[in-house]
Amino acid sequence: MAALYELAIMGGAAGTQAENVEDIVGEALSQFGLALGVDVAWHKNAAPFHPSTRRSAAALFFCAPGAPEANLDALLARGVPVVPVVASGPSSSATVPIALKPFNFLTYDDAGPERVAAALLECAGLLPRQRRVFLSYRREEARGAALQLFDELSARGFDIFLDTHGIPPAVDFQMVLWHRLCDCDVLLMLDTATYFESRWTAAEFGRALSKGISVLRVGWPNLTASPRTDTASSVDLSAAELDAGTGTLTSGALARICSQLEVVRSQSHAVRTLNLHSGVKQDVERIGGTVAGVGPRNAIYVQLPDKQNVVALPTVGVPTSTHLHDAATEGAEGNAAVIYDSVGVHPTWQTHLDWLGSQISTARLVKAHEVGWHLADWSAT
Amino acid sequence: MTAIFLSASVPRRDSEYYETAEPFLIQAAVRELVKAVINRHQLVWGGHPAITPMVWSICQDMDVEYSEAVVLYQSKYFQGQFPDENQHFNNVIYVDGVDGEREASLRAMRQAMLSRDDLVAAVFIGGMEGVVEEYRMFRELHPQAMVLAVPAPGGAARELVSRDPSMPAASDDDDIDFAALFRRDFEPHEDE
Repeated sequence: MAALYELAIMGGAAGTQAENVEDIVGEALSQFGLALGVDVAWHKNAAPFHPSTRRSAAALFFCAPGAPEANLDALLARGVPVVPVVASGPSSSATVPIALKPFNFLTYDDAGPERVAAALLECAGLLPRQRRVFLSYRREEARGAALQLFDELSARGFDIFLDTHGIPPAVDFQMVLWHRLCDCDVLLMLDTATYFESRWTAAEFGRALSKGISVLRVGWPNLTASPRTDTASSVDLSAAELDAGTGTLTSGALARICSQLEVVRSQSHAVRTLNLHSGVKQDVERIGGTVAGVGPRNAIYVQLPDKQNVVALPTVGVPTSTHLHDAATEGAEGNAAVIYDSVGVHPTWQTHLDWLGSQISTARLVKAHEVGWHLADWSAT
Repeated sequence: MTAIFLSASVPRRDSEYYETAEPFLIQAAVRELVKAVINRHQLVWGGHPAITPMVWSICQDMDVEYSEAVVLYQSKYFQGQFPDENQHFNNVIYVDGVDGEREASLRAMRQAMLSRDDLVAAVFIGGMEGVVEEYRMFRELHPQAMVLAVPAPGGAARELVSRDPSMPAASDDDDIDFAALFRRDFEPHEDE
Protein backbone atom coordinates (compact mmCIF):
# COMPACT_ATOMS: atom_id res chain seq x y z
CA MET A 1 0.00 0.00 0.00
CA ALA A 2 1.47 3.37 -0.98
CA ALA A 3 1.63 5.98 1.76
CA LEU A 4 -1.81 7.36 2.56
CA TYR A 5 -0.69 10.57 4.21
CA GLU A 6 2.54 12.59 4.10
CA LEU A 7 4.13 14.39 7.03
CA ALA A 8 7.29 16.45 7.12
CA ILE A 9 9.62 18.34 9.41
CA MET A 10 11.13 21.37 7.75
CA GLY A 11 13.33 24.21 8.85
CA GLY A 12 15.94 23.75 11.57
CA ALA A 13 14.87 21.61 14.50
CA ALA A 14 17.29 21.77 17.42
CA GLY A 15 18.83 18.87 19.32
CA THR A 16 16.45 15.94 19.66
CA GLN A 17 13.27 17.89 18.94
CA ALA A 18 12.63 16.19 15.61
CA GLU A 19 13.29 12.74 17.05
CA ASN A 20 11.01 13.38 20.02
CA VAL A 21 8.18 14.47 17.75
CA GLU A 22 8.82 11.51 15.46
CA ASP A 23 8.53 9.07 18.37
CA ILE A 24 5.21 10.52 19.48
CA VAL A 25 3.80 10.62 15.95
CA GLY A 26 4.91 7.04 15.37
CA GLU A 27 3.29 5.90 18.61
CA ALA A 28 0.03 7.71 17.81
CA LEU A 29 -0.15 6.16 14.35
CA SER A 30 0.58 2.68 15.64
CA GLN A 31 -2.68 2.98 17.62
CA PHE A 32 -4.39 3.04 14.25
CA GLY A 33 -2.38 0.11 12.98
CA LEU A 34 -0.46 2.48 10.71
CA ALA A 35 3.32 2.45 10.43
CA LEU A 36 5.19 5.72 10.24
CA GLY A 37 7.46 5.67 7.21
CA VAL A 38 5.29 3.09 5.44
CA ASP A 39 1.58 3.90 5.67
CA VAL A 40 2.28 7.50 6.53
CA ALA A 41 5.30 8.95 4.75
CA TRP A 42 7.77 10.72 7.02
CA HIS A 43 10.09 13.34 5.63
CA LYS A 44 12.57 14.51 8.25
CA ASN A 45 14.66 17.56 7.34
CA ALA A 46 12.53 17.94 4.24
CA ALA A 47 14.09 20.56 2.00
CA PRO A 48 12.11 20.55 -0.27
CA PHE A 49 8.89 18.74 0.66
CA HIS A 50 6.94 17.49 -2.35
CA PRO A 51 3.89 15.59 -1.11
CA SER A 52 1.63 13.92 -3.64
CA THR A 53 -1.29 16.13 -4.63
CA ARG A 54 -3.59 13.16 -4.07
CA ARG A 55 -2.87 12.82 -0.37
CA SER A 56 -3.45 14.89 2.74
CA ALA A 57 -0.12 16.30 3.87
CA ALA A 58 1.18 18.60 6.60
CA ALA A 59 4.49 19.96 7.81
CA LEU A 60 6.09 21.38 10.93
CA PHE A 61 8.45 24.26 10.30
CA PHE A 62 11.03 24.71 13.05
CA CYS A 63 12.00 28.38 12.95
CA ALA A 64 15.67 29.01 13.63
CA PRO A 65 18.40 31.36 12.37
CA GLY A 66 19.50 30.18 8.93
CA ALA A 67 16.82 27.48 8.69
CA PRO A 68 16.32 26.58 5.01
CA GLU A 69 12.92 27.62 3.72
CA ALA A 70 13.20 25.36 0.65
CA ASN A 71 9.84 25.26 -1.16
CA LEU A 72 7.82 26.74 1.71
CA ASP A 73 6.13 29.32 -0.55
CA ALA A 74 5.01 26.66 -3.02
CA LEU A 75 3.58 24.49 -0.24
CA LEU A 76 1.64 27.39 1.21
CA ALA A 77 0.28 28.30 -2.23
CA ARG A 78 -0.91 24.71 -2.63
CA GLY A 79 -2.73 24.78 0.69
CA VAL A 80 -0.50 22.27 2.48
CA PRO A 81 -0.84 23.09 6.20
CA VAL A 82 2.35 24.30 7.88
CA VAL A 83 2.68 24.60 11.67
CA PRO A 84 5.43 27.04 12.69
CA VAL A 85 7.35 26.01 15.82
CA VAL A 86 9.61 28.50 17.55
CA ALA A 87 12.13 28.25 20.33
CA SER A 88 11.58 30.16 23.55
CA GLY A 89 13.27 33.48 24.02
CA PRO A 90 12.85 37.12 23.18
CA SER A 91 14.20 36.98 19.64
CA SER A 92 12.27 33.86 18.57
CA SER A 93 9.73 35.71 16.45
CA ALA A 94 12.58 37.13 14.36
CA THR A 95 13.35 33.61 13.16
CA VAL A 96 9.87 33.12 11.67
CA PRO A 97 10.06 33.28 7.84
CA ILE A 98 8.17 36.16 6.25
CA ALA A 99 5.70 33.78 4.63
CA LEU A 100 4.71 32.44 8.07
CA LYS A 101 4.50 35.75 9.93
CA PRO A 102 0.66 35.89 9.82
CA PHE A 103 0.39 32.41 11.33
CA ASN A 104 -0.15 31.33 14.91
CA PHE A 105 2.86 29.35 16.09
CA LEU A 106 3.75 26.91 18.84
CA THR A 107 6.61 27.52 21.25
CA TYR A 108 8.34 24.18 21.63
CA ASP A 109 9.27 24.51 25.31
CA ASP A 110 5.78 25.60 26.31
CA ALA A 111 3.90 23.15 24.12
CA GLY A 112 6.18 20.15 24.45
CA PRO A 113 6.65 17.54 21.77
CA GLU A 114 3.20 16.03 22.50
CA ARG A 115 1.29 19.14 21.50
CA VAL A 116 3.59 19.78 18.57
CA ALA A 117 3.01 16.24 17.31
CA ALA A 118 -0.74 16.58 17.86
CA ALA A 119 -0.80 19.85 15.88
CA LEU A 120 0.87 18.12 12.96
CA LEU A 121 -1.46 15.12 13.10
CA GLU A 122 -4.50 17.36 13.33
CA CYS A 123 -3.56 19.19 10.15
CA ALA A 124 -3.39 15.90 8.25
CA GLY A 125 -6.67 14.66 9.72
CA LEU A 126 -4.93 12.04 11.85
CA LEU A 127 -6.40 12.63 15.30
CA PRO A 128 -8.86 9.94 16.43
CA ARG A 129 -11.73 12.39 16.76
CA GLN A 130 -11.26 13.36 13.11
CA ARG A 131 -11.49 9.78 11.86
CA ARG A 132 -15.25 9.49 11.74
CA VAL A 133 -17.10 6.64 10.09
CA PHE A 134 -20.86 6.14 9.66
CA LEU A 135 -21.46 2.39 9.85
CA SER A 136 -24.83 1.56 8.35
CA TYR A 137 -26.46 -1.88 8.32
CA ARG A 138 -29.70 -3.83 8.58
CA ARG A 139 -30.04 -5.29 12.04
CA GLU A 140 -31.76 -8.54 11.03
CA GLU A 141 -29.13 -9.31 8.43
CA ALA A 142 -25.77 -8.04 9.67
CA ARG A 143 -25.78 -7.40 13.39
CA GLY A 144 -22.92 -9.78 14.16
CA ALA A 145 -20.65 -8.33 11.51
CA ALA A 146 -21.57 -4.75 12.43
CA LEU A 147 -20.59 -5.24 16.05
CA GLN A 148 -17.33 -6.92 15.03
CA LEU A 149 -16.50 -4.02 12.77
CA PHE A 150 -17.44 -1.53 15.46
CA ASP A 151 -14.94 -3.17 17.84
CA GLU A 152 -12.23 -3.63 15.25
CA LEU A 153 -12.43 -0.09 13.88
CA SER A 154 -12.67 1.46 17.35
CA ALA A 155 -9.51 -0.39 18.28
CA ARG A 156 -7.88 1.22 15.24
CA GLY A 157 -8.75 4.70 16.40
CA PHE A 158 -11.84 5.37 14.32
CA ASP A 159 -14.82 7.21 15.76
CA ILE A 160 -17.76 5.05 14.65
CA PHE A 161 -21.39 5.98 14.53
CA LEU A 162 -23.70 2.97 14.25
CA ASP A 163 -26.69 3.48 11.97
CA THR A 164 -28.86 0.49 12.80
CA HIS A 165 -31.67 0.05 10.37
CA GLY A 166 -34.37 -2.32 11.42
CA ILE A 167 -37.50 -0.35 11.91
CA PRO A 168 -39.68 1.10 9.16
CA PRO A 169 -38.07 4.25 7.80
CA ALA A 170 -39.23 7.56 9.10
CA VAL A 171 -40.76 9.95 6.59
CA ASP A 172 -37.71 12.19 6.66
CA PHE A 173 -34.13 11.25 7.28
CA GLN A 174 -33.85 12.40 10.86
CA MET A 175 -31.92 15.60 11.23
CA VAL A 176 -29.49 14.40 13.87
CA LEU A 177 -28.72 11.26 11.92
CA TRP A 178 -28.14 13.26 8.77
CA HIS A 179 -25.78 15.63 10.52
CA ARG A 180 -23.80 12.74 11.97
CA LEU A 181 -23.44 11.43 8.43
CA CYS A 182 -22.26 14.80 7.15
CA ASP A 183 -19.59 14.90 9.84
CA CYS A 184 -18.11 11.63 8.60
CA ASP A 185 -15.60 11.09 5.85
CA VAL A 186 -16.83 7.61 5.02
CA LEU A 187 -20.16 5.82 4.84
CA LEU A 188 -19.41 2.15 5.51
CA MET A 189 -22.41 0.13 4.46
CA LEU A 190 -23.00 -3.58 4.97
CA ASP A 191 -24.82 -4.41 1.76
CA THR A 192 -26.95 -7.39 2.65
CA ALA A 193 -29.91 -8.75 0.69
CA THR A 194 -32.45 -6.09 1.62
CA TYR A 195 -30.22 -3.38 3.04
CA PHE A 196 -29.78 -0.86 0.26
CA GLU A 197 -33.29 -0.53 -1.12
CA SER A 198 -34.83 -0.48 2.35
CA ARG A 199 -32.35 1.96 3.83
CA TRP A 200 -31.83 4.53 1.11
CA THR A 201 -34.13 6.24 -1.29
CA ALA A 202 -32.41 7.46 -4.45
CA ALA A 203 -32.81 11.01 -3.20
CA GLU A 204 -31.24 10.41 0.20
CA PHE A 205 -28.28 8.51 -1.21
CA GLY A 206 -27.76 11.17 -3.86
CA ARG A 207 -27.79 13.73 -1.11
CA ALA A 208 -25.10 11.89 0.83
CA LEU A 209 -22.95 11.76 -2.29
CA SER A 210 -23.52 15.46 -2.92
CA LYS A 211 -21.80 16.16 0.40
CA GLY A 212 -18.65 14.51 -0.92
CA ILE A 213 -18.82 11.60 1.49
CA SER A 214 -17.06 8.53 0.16
CA VAL A 215 -18.72 5.14 0.37
CA LEU A 216 -17.23 1.76 1.19
CA ARG A 217 -19.67 -0.99 0.42
CA VAL A 218 -19.15 -4.43 1.93
CA GLY A 219 -21.02 -6.76 -0.40
CA TRP A 220 -22.51 -9.89 1.11
CA PRO A 221 -21.71 -13.13 -0.74
CA ASN A 222 -23.39 -13.66 -4.11
CA LEU A 223 -25.17 -10.34 -4.11
CA THR A 224 -25.18 -7.94 -7.03
CA ALA A 225 -24.60 -4.35 -6.06
CA SER A 226 -27.24 -1.80 -6.92
CA PRO A 227 -26.04 0.38 -9.82
CA ARG A 228 -26.66 3.29 -7.49
CA THR A 229 -23.47 2.31 -5.68
CA ASP A 230 -21.26 2.25 -8.79
CA THR A 231 -19.09 5.08 -7.51
CA ALA A 232 -18.54 3.38 -4.17
CA SER A 233 -15.47 1.41 -3.24
CA SER A 234 -16.36 -2.25 -2.76
CA VAL A 235 -15.19 -5.18 -0.71
CA ASP A 236 -17.05 -8.25 -1.92
CA LEU A 237 -17.16 -11.04 0.63
CA SER A 238 -16.79 -14.64 -0.41
CA ALA A 239 -19.00 -17.25 1.26
CA ALA A 240 -15.98 -18.55 3.14
CA GLU A 241 -15.46 -15.20 4.81
CA LEU A 242 -18.86 -15.14 6.45
CA ASP A 243 -20.16 -17.59 9.01
CA ALA A 244 -23.74 -18.13 7.90
CA GLY A 245 -24.79 -19.28 11.36
CA THR A 246 -23.43 -16.47 13.52
CA GLY A 247 -23.26 -13.79 10.82
CA THR A 248 -19.69 -13.02 11.80
CA LEU A 249 -16.75 -12.31 9.56
CA THR A 250 -13.40 -14.06 9.48
CA SER A 251 -10.40 -12.16 10.79
CA GLY A 252 -9.08 -12.02 7.22
CA ALA A 253 -12.26 -10.33 6.01
CA LEU A 254 -12.15 -7.86 8.91
CA ALA A 255 -8.56 -6.98 8.09
CA ARG A 256 -9.42 -6.52 4.43
CA ILE A 257 -12.31 -4.19 5.23
CA CYS A 258 -10.32 -2.13 7.73
CA SER A 259 -7.42 -1.76 5.33
CA GLN A 260 -9.69 -0.65 2.50
CA LEU A 261 -11.49 1.74 4.82
CA GLU A 262 -8.19 3.39 5.67
CA VAL A 263 -7.47 3.92 1.97
CA VAL A 264 -10.96 5.22 1.20
CA ARG A 265 -10.97 7.55 4.18
CA SER A 266 -7.59 9.03 3.32
CA GLN A 267 -8.71 9.75 -0.22
CA SER A 268 -11.97 11.30 0.91
CA HIS A 269 -10.19 13.50 3.43
CA ALA A 270 -7.69 14.70 0.83
CA VAL A 271 -10.29 15.55 -1.81
CA ARG A 272 -12.74 17.23 0.54
CA THR A 273 -10.23 19.41 2.36
CA LEU A 274 -8.44 20.38 -0.84
CA ASN A 275 -11.61 21.37 -2.67
CA LEU A 276 -12.98 23.26 0.33
CA HIS A 277 -9.73 25.19 0.70
CA SER A 278 -9.53 25.83 -3.04
CA GLY A 279 -13.02 27.31 -3.08
CA VAL A 280 -12.21 29.68 -0.25
CA LYS A 281 -8.95 30.75 -1.85
CA GLN A 282 -10.60 31.53 -5.17
CA ASP A 283 -13.32 33.56 -3.51
CA VAL A 284 -10.77 35.54 -1.53
CA GLU A 285 -8.67 36.27 -4.57
CA ARG A 286 -11.70 37.25 -6.62
CA ILE A 287 -12.48 40.08 -4.19
CA GLY A 288 -8.87 41.24 -4.26
CA GLY A 289 -7.69 39.56 -1.07
CA THR A 290 -4.78 37.19 -0.57
CA VAL A 291 -4.33 33.89 1.20
CA ALA A 292 -1.05 33.47 3.10
CA GLY A 293 -1.59 29.76 3.53
CA VAL A 294 -2.96 27.13 5.88
CA GLY A 295 -1.64 26.84 9.43
CA PRO A 296 -2.39 25.12 12.73
CA ARG A 297 -5.88 23.56 12.95
CA ASN A 298 -6.12 23.98 9.17
CA ALA A 299 -6.88 27.66 9.65
CA ILE A 300 -6.69 29.67 6.43
CA TYR A 301 -4.91 32.99 6.88
CA VAL A 302 -6.60 35.64 4.78
CA GLN A 303 -5.74 39.25 4.14
CA LEU A 304 -8.62 41.37 2.85
CA PRO A 305 -8.14 44.13 0.27
CA ASP A 306 -8.20 46.70 3.09
CA LYS A 307 -5.31 44.80 4.78
CA GLN A 308 -7.47 43.42 7.58
CA ASN A 309 -6.45 39.91 8.61
CA VAL A 310 -9.06 37.19 8.96
CA VAL A 311 -8.52 33.63 10.18
CA ALA A 312 -10.94 31.18 8.55
CA LEU A 313 -11.48 27.69 9.87
CA PRO A 314 -13.12 25.48 7.28
CA THR A 315 -15.20 22.65 8.66
CA VAL A 316 -16.25 19.65 6.64
CA GLY A 317 -19.32 18.75 8.67
CA VAL A 318 -22.05 20.74 10.35
CA PRO A 319 -20.62 23.46 12.60
CA THR A 320 -21.33 23.75 16.30
CA SER A 321 -20.54 26.25 19.04
CA THR A 322 -17.30 24.32 19.57
CA HIS A 323 -16.15 25.24 16.07
CA LEU A 324 -16.92 28.88 16.78
CA HIS A 325 -14.98 28.69 20.02
CA ASP A 326 -12.01 27.10 18.24
CA ALA A 327 -12.07 29.82 15.59
CA ALA A 328 -12.26 32.56 18.18
CA THR A 329 -9.25 31.03 19.92
CA GLU A 330 -7.23 30.90 16.69
CA GLY A 331 -8.09 34.42 15.64
CA ALA A 332 -7.64 37.74 17.36
CA GLU A 333 -10.58 39.86 18.48
CA GLY A 334 -13.46 39.49 16.05
CA ASN A 335 -11.49 38.45 12.99
CA ALA A 336 -12.27 34.74 12.92
CA ALA A 337 -14.70 32.79 10.77
CA VAL A 338 -15.94 29.23 10.58
CA ILE A 339 -16.55 28.29 6.96
CA TYR A 340 -18.93 25.45 6.34
CA ASP A 341 -20.69 23.76 3.49
CA SER A 342 -24.32 24.63 4.04
CA VAL A 343 -25.49 22.33 1.25
CA GLY A 344 -27.70 19.74 2.91
CA VAL A 345 -27.99 21.36 6.33
CA HIS A 346 -31.50 20.81 7.64
CA PRO A 347 -33.54 24.06 7.54
CA THR A 348 -34.33 23.84 11.26
CA TRP A 349 -30.65 23.56 12.09
CA GLN A 350 -29.83 26.35 9.64
CA THR A 351 -32.19 28.61 11.58
CA HIS A 352 -30.39 27.62 14.75
CA LEU A 353 -27.01 28.33 13.14
CA ASP A 354 -28.15 31.72 11.95
CA TRP A 355 -29.29 32.51 15.51
CA LEU A 356 -26.06 31.17 17.04
CA GLY A 357 -23.96 33.20 14.63
CA SER A 358 -25.82 36.35 15.57
CA GLN A 359 -25.07 35.81 19.28
CA ILE A 360 -21.31 35.42 18.97
CA SER A 361 -19.17 38.47 18.28
CA THR A 362 -15.72 36.89 18.37
CA ALA A 363 -16.19 34.55 15.41
CA ARG A 364 -18.59 34.38 12.48
CA LEU A 365 -20.36 31.51 10.75
CA VAL A 366 -19.91 31.80 6.99
CA LYS A 367 -21.40 29.53 4.34
CA ALA A 368 -18.81 28.30 1.86
CA HIS A 369 -20.68 29.60 -1.19
CA GLU A 370 -21.01 33.05 0.43
CA VAL A 371 -17.37 33.51 1.37
CA GLY A 372 -16.71 36.20 -1.21
CA TRP A 373 -19.78 38.15 -0.21
CA HIS A 374 -19.01 37.99 3.52
CA LEU A 375 -15.35 38.85 3.22
CA ALA A 376 -15.99 41.74 0.84
CA ASP A 377 -18.28 43.22 3.45
CA TRP A 378 -16.33 42.11 6.53
CA SER A 379 -15.94 45.49 8.17
CA ALA A 380 -19.53 46.51 7.61
CA THR A 381 -21.15 43.38 9.07
CA MET B 1 -29.14 29.55 -22.19
CA THR B 2 -25.90 27.86 -23.19
CA ALA B 3 -25.28 24.21 -22.45
CA ILE B 4 -22.42 21.93 -21.56
CA PHE B 5 -22.25 18.31 -22.66
CA LEU B 6 -21.12 16.01 -19.86
CA SER B 7 -19.78 12.57 -20.59
CA ALA B 8 -19.36 10.79 -17.26
CA SER B 9 -19.72 7.15 -16.36
CA VAL B 10 -18.02 4.49 -14.28
CA PRO B 11 -16.25 1.75 -16.26
CA ARG B 12 -17.56 -1.73 -15.56
CA ARG B 13 -15.28 -4.63 -14.72
CA ASP B 14 -15.25 -5.89 -18.30
CA SER B 15 -14.16 -2.55 -19.71
CA GLU B 16 -10.56 -1.96 -20.77
CA TYR B 17 -10.78 1.28 -18.79
CA TYR B 18 -11.72 -0.39 -15.50
CA GLU B 19 -8.17 -0.56 -14.15
CA THR B 20 -7.40 3.15 -14.31
CA ALA B 21 -10.82 4.35 -13.18
CA GLU B 22 -11.29 5.78 -9.68
CA PRO B 23 -15.02 5.90 -9.04
CA PHE B 24 -14.83 8.23 -6.04
CA LEU B 25 -12.86 10.78 -8.05
CA ILE B 26 -15.37 10.50 -10.91
CA GLN B 27 -18.08 11.35 -8.41
CA ALA B 28 -16.04 14.20 -6.88
CA ALA B 29 -15.22 15.71 -10.27
CA VAL B 30 -18.85 15.67 -11.42
CA ARG B 31 -19.88 17.20 -8.11
CA GLU B 32 -17.48 20.11 -8.49
CA LEU B 33 -18.43 20.59 -12.15
CA VAL B 34 -22.13 20.85 -11.34
CA LYS B 35 -21.48 23.30 -8.50
CA ALA B 36 -19.30 25.43 -10.78
CA VAL B 37 -21.57 25.67 -13.84
CA ILE B 38 -25.15 25.04 -12.81
CA ASN B 39 -26.07 28.70 -12.38
CA ARG B 40 -24.82 29.67 -15.82
CA HIS B 41 -25.17 26.70 -18.16
CA GLN B 42 -27.53 23.81 -18.70
CA LEU B 43 -26.03 20.38 -18.30
CA VAL B 44 -26.75 17.89 -21.09
CA TRP B 45 -25.93 14.23 -20.52
CA GLY B 46 -27.12 10.63 -20.55
CA GLY B 47 -27.34 10.19 -16.79
CA HIS B 48 -26.01 7.45 -14.55
CA PRO B 49 -27.85 5.75 -11.67
CA ALA B 50 -25.08 6.53 -9.18
CA ILE B 51 -24.59 10.13 -10.29
CA THR B 52 -27.99 11.46 -11.43
CA PRO B 53 -29.48 11.61 -7.90
CA MET B 54 -26.41 13.52 -6.73
CA VAL B 55 -26.84 16.08 -9.51
CA TRP B 56 -30.49 16.44 -8.59
CA SER B 57 -29.58 16.97 -4.93
CA ILE B 58 -27.01 19.65 -5.70
CA CYS B 59 -29.57 21.55 -7.78
CA GLN B 60 -32.03 21.42 -4.88
CA ASP B 61 -29.52 22.69 -2.38
CA MET B 62 -28.33 25.47 -4.63
CA ASP B 63 -31.93 26.55 -5.26
CA VAL B 64 -31.72 25.73 -8.94
CA GLU B 65 -34.70 24.12 -10.68
CA TYR B 66 -33.42 20.68 -11.66
CA SER B 67 -35.87 20.27 -14.53
CA GLU B 68 -34.55 23.43 -16.13
CA ALA B 69 -30.89 23.07 -15.28
CA VAL B 70 -30.31 19.54 -16.55
CA VAL B 71 -31.38 17.79 -19.76
CA LEU B 72 -31.22 14.01 -19.72
CA TYR B 73 -31.10 11.95 -22.91
CA GLN B 74 -32.26 8.34 -22.82
CA SER B 75 -32.51 5.80 -25.61
CA LYS B 76 -35.81 3.95 -25.91
CA TYR B 77 -33.75 0.85 -26.57
CA PHE B 78 -33.41 0.70 -22.76
CA GLN B 79 -37.14 1.01 -22.12
CA GLY B 80 -37.92 -0.77 -18.88
CA GLN B 81 -34.55 0.00 -17.35
CA PHE B 82 -34.97 3.71 -16.79
CA PRO B 83 -34.41 4.91 -13.22
CA ASP B 84 -37.61 5.66 -11.31
CA GLU B 85 -36.76 9.30 -10.81
CA ASN B 86 -37.11 9.99 -14.56
CA GLN B 87 -40.86 9.92 -14.03
CA HIS B 88 -40.70 12.80 -11.58
CA PHE B 89 -39.09 15.26 -13.91
CA ASN B 90 -39.96 16.56 -17.33
CA ASN B 91 -36.38 17.11 -18.41
CA VAL B 92 -35.89 13.74 -20.10
CA ILE B 93 -35.64 13.45 -23.89
CA TYR B 94 -36.33 9.95 -25.18
CA VAL B 95 -34.72 9.07 -28.48
CA ASP B 96 -36.14 6.24 -30.59
CA GLY B 97 -34.17 3.03 -30.74
CA VAL B 98 -32.79 1.80 -34.07
CA ASP B 99 -33.72 -1.66 -35.39
CA GLY B 100 -33.63 -3.08 -31.90
CA GLU B 101 -29.85 -2.80 -31.94
CA ARG B 102 -27.95 -1.50 -28.97
CA GLU B 103 -25.01 0.20 -30.71
CA ALA B 104 -27.13 1.79 -33.43
CA SER B 105 -29.58 3.02 -30.81
CA LEU B 106 -26.81 4.52 -28.69
CA ARG B 107 -25.37 6.22 -31.74
CA ALA B 108 -28.75 7.74 -32.61
CA MET B 109 -29.09 9.03 -29.06
CA ARG B 110 -25.61 10.56 -29.16
CA GLN B 111 -26.37 12.17 -32.51
CA ALA B 112 -29.51 13.78 -31.12
CA MET B 113 -27.77 14.90 -27.93
CA LEU B 114 -24.64 16.27 -29.55
CA SER B 115 -26.40 18.04 -32.41
CA ARG B 116 -27.85 20.60 -30.05
CA ASP B 117 -26.80 24.03 -31.14
CA ASP B 118 -26.69 25.43 -27.61
CA LEU B 119 -23.64 23.35 -26.65
CA VAL B 120 -20.58 25.49 -25.94
CA ALA B 121 -18.36 22.93 -24.25
CA ALA B 122 -17.86 19.24 -23.54
CA VAL B 123 -16.44 17.76 -20.35
CA PHE B 124 -15.19 14.16 -20.17
CA ILE B 125 -14.84 12.45 -16.78
CA GLY B 126 -14.11 8.75 -16.33
CA GLY B 127 -16.06 6.86 -18.96
CA MET B 128 -15.72 3.76 -21.08
CA GLU B 129 -15.65 2.73 -24.71
CA GLY B 130 -18.40 5.06 -25.94
CA VAL B 131 -16.40 8.12 -24.93
CA VAL B 132 -14.11 8.03 -27.95
CA GLU B 133 -17.09 8.14 -30.31
CA GLU B 134 -18.71 10.93 -28.30
CA TYR B 135 -15.51 12.94 -28.44
CA ARG B 136 -15.17 12.47 -32.19
CA MET B 137 -18.81 13.39 -32.82
CA PHE B 138 -18.62 16.44 -30.60
CA ARG B 139 -15.50 17.71 -32.34
CA GLU B 140 -17.14 17.34 -35.78
CA LEU B 141 -20.35 19.04 -34.74
CA HIS B 142 -18.80 21.79 -32.62
CA PRO B 143 -15.29 22.46 -33.92
CA GLN B 144 -15.01 25.76 -32.01
CA ALA B 145 -16.31 24.58 -28.67
CA MET B 146 -14.11 23.94 -25.63
CA VAL B 147 -13.32 20.32 -24.83
CA LEU B 148 -12.12 19.40 -21.37
CA ALA B 149 -10.97 15.89 -20.41
CA VAL B 150 -10.17 15.41 -16.72
CA PRO B 151 -7.37 12.84 -16.30
CA ALA B 152 -7.20 12.27 -12.52
CA PRO B 153 -10.34 10.07 -12.21
CA GLY B 154 -8.94 7.79 -14.91
CA GLY B 155 -11.06 5.87 -17.39
CA ALA B 156 -11.43 6.78 -21.04
CA ALA B 157 -11.16 10.52 -20.33
CA ARG B 158 -7.55 10.07 -19.28
CA GLU B 159 -6.88 8.20 -22.53
CA LEU B 160 -8.39 11.03 -24.57
CA VAL B 161 -5.77 13.39 -23.24
CA SER B 162 -2.89 11.10 -24.17
CA ARG B 163 -4.35 10.08 -27.56
CA ASP B 164 -5.12 13.54 -28.89
CA PRO B 165 -2.14 15.90 -28.89
CA SER B 166 -4.40 18.73 -29.98
CA MET B 167 -6.45 18.56 -26.80
CA PRO B 168 -4.99 20.75 -24.11
CA ALA B 169 -4.65 18.75 -20.92
CA ALA B 170 -6.96 20.32 -18.38
CA SER B 171 -4.68 19.17 -15.61
CA ASP B 172 -2.31 16.33 -14.89
CA ASP B 173 -3.09 12.82 -13.69
CA ASP B 174 -2.61 13.76 -10.05
CA ASP B 175 -4.58 16.99 -9.95
CA ILE B 176 -7.65 16.40 -7.79
CA ASP B 177 -8.42 20.07 -7.23
CA PHE B 178 -11.55 19.89 -9.33
CA ALA B 179 -13.05 22.99 -7.75
CA ALA B 180 -10.16 25.10 -9.05
CA LEU B 181 -10.15 23.40 -12.45
CA PHE B 182 -13.79 24.00 -13.31
CA ARG B 183 -14.02 27.45 -11.86
CA ARG B 184 -10.94 28.44 -13.83
CA ASP B 185 -12.31 27.10 -17.09
CA PHE B 186 -15.93 28.11 -16.69
CA GLU B 187 -15.73 31.31 -14.73
CA PRO B 188 -16.94 34.26 -16.81
CA HIS B 189 -14.01 36.47 -17.62
CA GLU B 190 -13.84 40.22 -17.05
CA ASP B 191 -14.69 40.99 -20.66
CA GLU B 192 -17.78 38.76 -20.89
